Amino acid sequence: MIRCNLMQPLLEIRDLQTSFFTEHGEVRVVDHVGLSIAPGRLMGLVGESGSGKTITALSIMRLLPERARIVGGQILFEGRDLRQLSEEQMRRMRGASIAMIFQEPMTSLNPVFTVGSQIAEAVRLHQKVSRAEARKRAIEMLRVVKIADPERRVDDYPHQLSGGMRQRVMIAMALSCRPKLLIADEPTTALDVTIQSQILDLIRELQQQFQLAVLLVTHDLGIVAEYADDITILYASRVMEQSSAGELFSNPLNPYTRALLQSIPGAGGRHRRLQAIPGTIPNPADPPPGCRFNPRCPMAIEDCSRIDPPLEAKRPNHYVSCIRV
Amino acid sequence: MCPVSGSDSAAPKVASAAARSDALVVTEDLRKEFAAGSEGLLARRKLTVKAVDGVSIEIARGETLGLVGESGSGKSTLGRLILRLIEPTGGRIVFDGRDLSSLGRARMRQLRREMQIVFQDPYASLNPRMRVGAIVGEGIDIHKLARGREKQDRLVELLRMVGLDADALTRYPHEFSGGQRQRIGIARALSVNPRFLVLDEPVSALDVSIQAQIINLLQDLQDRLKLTYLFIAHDLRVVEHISRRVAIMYLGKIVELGTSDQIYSNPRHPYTRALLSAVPSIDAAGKRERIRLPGELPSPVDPPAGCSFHPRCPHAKDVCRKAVPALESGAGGHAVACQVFPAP
Repeated sequence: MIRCNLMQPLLEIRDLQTSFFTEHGEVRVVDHVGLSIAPGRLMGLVGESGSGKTITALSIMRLLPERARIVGGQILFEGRDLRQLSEEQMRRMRGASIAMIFQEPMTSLNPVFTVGSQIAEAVRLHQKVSRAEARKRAIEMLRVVKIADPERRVDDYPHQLSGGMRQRVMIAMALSCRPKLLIADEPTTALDVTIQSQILDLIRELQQQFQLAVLLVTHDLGIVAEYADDITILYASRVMEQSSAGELFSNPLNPYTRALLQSIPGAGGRHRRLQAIPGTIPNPADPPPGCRFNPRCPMAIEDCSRIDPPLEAKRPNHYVSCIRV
Repeated sequence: MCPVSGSDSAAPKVASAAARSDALVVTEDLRKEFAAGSEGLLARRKLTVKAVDGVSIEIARGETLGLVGESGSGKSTLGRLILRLIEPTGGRIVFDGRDLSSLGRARMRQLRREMQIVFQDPYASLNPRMRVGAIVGEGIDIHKLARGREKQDRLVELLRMVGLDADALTRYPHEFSGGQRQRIGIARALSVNPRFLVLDEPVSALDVSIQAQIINLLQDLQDRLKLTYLFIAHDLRVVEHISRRVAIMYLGKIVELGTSDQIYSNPRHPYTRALLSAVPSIDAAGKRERIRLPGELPSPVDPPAGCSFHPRCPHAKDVCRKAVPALESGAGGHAVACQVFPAP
């Protein structure tokens, strides 16, 4: 796990295990995942589908789907284990201390209320302020997320806004109670590339302005290369590699990370044949024994299907789970 | 300089382009307008969206033309127009020297055998109630290409071509992963021996580790079967990798067109440059200046006058607010529709 010497971590996840309980039994979707984020840092949590990245984020918020449950580990926020909080304490935590934004802003915005009233509601949920004061705060937050003409936009309904503007409103709402941790789950996946860079630039600016800790969940290595301070790579519910962004891209060590980097177009000259990773992502209900990546790994030896590789420091502050490194 | 687009482009020039023997697909001033309701009392003013607004392109035999644009640019509409899956409002489509716009229904259906499409979403584009054998075999039946034993052999061959085992034939789409479903979609498109494929965001819904498999497969199939591709995508890196030439589309128009090298190493149009600079990339992380575009794609119902990109353009001048720039071709066929940064 990355230890930040300069500052105490705001969030520290230790050995998190989360499972779905289905008619076929327990399916582990987050398996011994650990990470920590200090104030003002942006952690990129990267993975493909089924890697457990979204369930990790939802575990922190304790907003898991009905059939899912945290079965082990700790989620320490400012030293307090969120798993030990009552539902009421957790409810106060969400929004006030930890906020989350999602891929589809439209699913989180209520179509029949103006965006201003929704931001104001979020403010009044956590702080004792008058209606007028909450509305003023809503306008101020719209200005913070750089929506032009906030005094007018505050009375718009979500459908009157474009996708990029809606995501700005979501960010305004998420930050309206000045949380210390922002969890952003694929916040730009539904957006066009020019709008995506606007939103990511905004998140980075706000992160610096408010000393926010940010957990950015994404499938896009390019995004974390440009925006993250630290990176955690997940594959099939487990942490494969973890380090600072600079270290990860100059010295990728886990064969999965290396294969992933090799398979991206543009990363090694035009018209070069891509080095595809053979096979398919394992079914979480039926993971391969040993290292989860071993059936697709070019470096796999027999032991890889027998030994669960521990996450170990292979270089200073660079953690890798692979017995071949 | 020779104008190759815009309503005022000279007809003989376009005709000569169509006559070029290496072009399999040619569009001339292709247009599609959609009704977008009406405005005003008693609906006096009908509103239309010019989804595709005077596009003239050609695709050479055996090449991949990449078509890039953000949502609302009209790129998917253009792909469907070329196949006549939707009817154009104006302009011509010439396929292998034949003018598609003049073909009747029966002839068009015959010709469609030669031009197929692969869709983005491998989950939505395969009928969940049909077995893979029936999905891939449907085109073979419709066009009466094979029956019985012969058809069975052909199905197995098609599956093998896309990297699937014969036992897939009796299974249902839900039993396959996203990448495998896209392979099924490709097998279906290939079943009728097409020469031209419209690939509409074929890898956008796939995981990174699977994307490369499908891109390699598409390139192998192109070599083996001498296929011609129109590759539509919003991912500039994927398009750069697979395309020989690239067209950039904005609000229904092609704003820049050239070889991959011209577009990616020497982009001219301010929109192309902004688009390229907005792509987060591992190689360039922290090393380059990002061009920030203010605002978003304007409503295509009421596009800005003059150059439709001018309200967001950092280099807009007076002329850009007035005149619509034509796509003009310069050195090495690099074509740009910009009055401030014309083709080199």
